[in-house]
Amino acid sequence: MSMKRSITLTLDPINEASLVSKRTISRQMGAANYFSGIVREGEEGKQIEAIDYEAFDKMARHQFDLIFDEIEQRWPIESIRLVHRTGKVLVNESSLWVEVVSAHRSEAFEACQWLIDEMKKRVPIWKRPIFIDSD
Amino acid sequence: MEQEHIEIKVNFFSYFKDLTGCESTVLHLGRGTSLDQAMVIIRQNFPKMESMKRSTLVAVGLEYVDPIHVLQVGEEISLFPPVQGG
Repeated sequence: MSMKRSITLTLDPINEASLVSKRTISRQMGAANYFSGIVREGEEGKQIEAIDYEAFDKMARHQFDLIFDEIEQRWPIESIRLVHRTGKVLVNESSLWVEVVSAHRSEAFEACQWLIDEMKKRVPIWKRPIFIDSD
Repeated sequence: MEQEHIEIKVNFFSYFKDLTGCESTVLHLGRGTSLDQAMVIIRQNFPKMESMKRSTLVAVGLEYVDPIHVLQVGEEISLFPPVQGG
């Protein structure tokens, strides 16, 4: 059975509890690995209030799909869900949420790490820090 | 009869929009022009992009392609700085 996948790019805040509550997982699975990327207050040695994310939407979705294709070839993963914010994301808010479901924890951890590493090389999303006291 | 020139739209993302002063432009290229040849023209048209040469990522359509890719009618080039998702 092919890996289930979900890619969401959204301006809306990520409701992690709601996403987890909507998890669908078969009875053979034993691991659900989660990663949440959070905006931290320091950037380039200065304090920020937020990060403004820009995406080349269509290409970002396509590149995520290609990454998911490779994950499907490399690890036995049942499903991946990914949500990435665009627009203004405040400090302490989540900019990225990832869920990887598999039978065992090792592939869930590995696939999740690899997904994020590859995203940071290829997926056309950029961030612009909004500094405190900026115009 | 085939046209000798084709129109290729070029899109700029992130701070490349500030460097070029625009979100997109249109190139009129000879048929058979490769991506790397088009990049030379883009840097001539937008001199500030020359300093970004080493840190420019280039896509055609939704894909990263080889510089020798020959541009086809209807294709779009997108230029952007290193990506920063997450």
